[in-house]
Amino acid sequence: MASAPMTEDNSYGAWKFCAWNGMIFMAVFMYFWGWLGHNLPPFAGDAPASEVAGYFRNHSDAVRLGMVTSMTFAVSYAVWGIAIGKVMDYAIGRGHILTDLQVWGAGLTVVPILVSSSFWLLGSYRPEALDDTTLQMIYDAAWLLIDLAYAVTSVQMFGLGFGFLRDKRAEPFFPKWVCWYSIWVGFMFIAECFMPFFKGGAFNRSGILNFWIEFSIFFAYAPIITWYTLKAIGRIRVENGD
Amino acid sequence: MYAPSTMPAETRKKALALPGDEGVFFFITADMAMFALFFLVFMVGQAQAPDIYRASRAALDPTLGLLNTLILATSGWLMVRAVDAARRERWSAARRNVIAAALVGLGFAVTKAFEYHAKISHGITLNTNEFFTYYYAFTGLHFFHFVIGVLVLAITQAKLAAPEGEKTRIWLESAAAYWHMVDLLWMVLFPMLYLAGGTA
Amino acid sequence: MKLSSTLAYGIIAALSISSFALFESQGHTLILALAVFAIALVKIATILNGFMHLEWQHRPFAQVLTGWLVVVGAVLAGGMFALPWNS
Repeated sequence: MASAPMTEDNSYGAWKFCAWNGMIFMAVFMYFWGWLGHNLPPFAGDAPASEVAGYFRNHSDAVRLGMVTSMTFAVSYAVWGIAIGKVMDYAIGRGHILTDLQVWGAGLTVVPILVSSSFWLLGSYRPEALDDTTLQMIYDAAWLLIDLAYAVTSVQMFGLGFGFLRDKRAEPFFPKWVCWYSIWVGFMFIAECFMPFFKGGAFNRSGILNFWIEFSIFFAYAPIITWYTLKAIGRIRVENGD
Repeated sequence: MYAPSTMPAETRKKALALPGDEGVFFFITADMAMFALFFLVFMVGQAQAPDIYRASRAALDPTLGLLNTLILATSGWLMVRAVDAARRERWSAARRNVIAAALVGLGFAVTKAFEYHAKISHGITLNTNEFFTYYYAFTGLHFFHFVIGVLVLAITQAKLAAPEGEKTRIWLESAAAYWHMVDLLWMVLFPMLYLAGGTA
Repeated sequence: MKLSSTLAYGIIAALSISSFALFESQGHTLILALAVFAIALVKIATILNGFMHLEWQHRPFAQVLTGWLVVVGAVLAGGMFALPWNS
């Protein structure tokens, strides 16, 4: 591996901070987007419009705060992806296409999060002036976007998984099972395709399969990857003798 | 002095090694856990509305399900023959068996296409009722696994055309393990959807 | 014990056909439903053993997949006991 240009970089603090952004993202996403935005779990597809509209009207400030914070921190997902990409540079050599896919996948994941959050924010902006079905439509649009943008994130997961599988170290930065977990999560996301067809049951946006399982495997994803990314940065620091 | 004792140890280690790649087995385990959950969701739904499930099951043709079971089992057996051949470094025999496994396996797609088409033309869709939601979703996700499997077999036969020893053998064993998973998930899906639970 | 793949294939094919024939001829009862699932699980065990060659020394996967069989068996049997059956 080209070690000469690698050793020039010793900003491990910034690198680690970027890696921690995965956890910052998850914390913000769960509390501000999830809890304050009433998205954990969401209203079911068949929830009456008045129920959804009532939430926007009665908790408009909570939703505003939730979505403003969610939009502010959405980019931390991309920052995290860049930190992972730099570890991939060490694992499989600079400029590998799988690294590019991982970074771009993480970067583009920001877009649906940002845009769907802006929809929820829109609903909370003047809910008193909008009728129930309009507010319901805004809520639906946001959920359809965030769920069906799964493939963007799958690209990150495939890039990461297949990329780190090429790590030829005796003890690779990412264990095989983590790589395959990443690939599997990206693969299973395809179940999101069922979501638009249902308003109730296991495959609707709040159902056992489409929400609880799919989101749980995603929520477990970021901490696992962040843990191994931070460990790898520590190992690279030792290898470089910094 | 060392040679005679290390040789059997090496051979023994090889014999005990997991067939294929442990990462692929992790993927398979995770996938099977997901399907186990699908089975649970189905059983809970069925217990809550047995009449709907029984009436709907009567619309399925179990003969097609049986046909697909036999297709997948035959294809799986051909994959085992491929792995056995590769372990003896008979690469072209391995490749022939992989191609045969893929060709036989494609019969599954033909049957499935025929079956889906017949259902849809009778106006039975994903949203007809809960039974058919699960029928389409679970067989659809299983079919997606099948399609990926066929692609993997296509890559595998290409690799077997220019084998690289151990590396190719592990690839083949991993592909076979995945293919067997597609087979064994169907072994539950078939009785669960088409047979057991009763028809009205 | 290592199961020959051809024997495994024979077992799977024979069990598939016989469970289907049994079910078609005898109608739908709880006992038959349980038997159909039991046969399915035997077929899966045969695939794990005779096709995948997954044996006891392949821990943890052999144990996890055996556990999977037990859990799925319980889910399927539980699902059948939860249904109303005539006679």
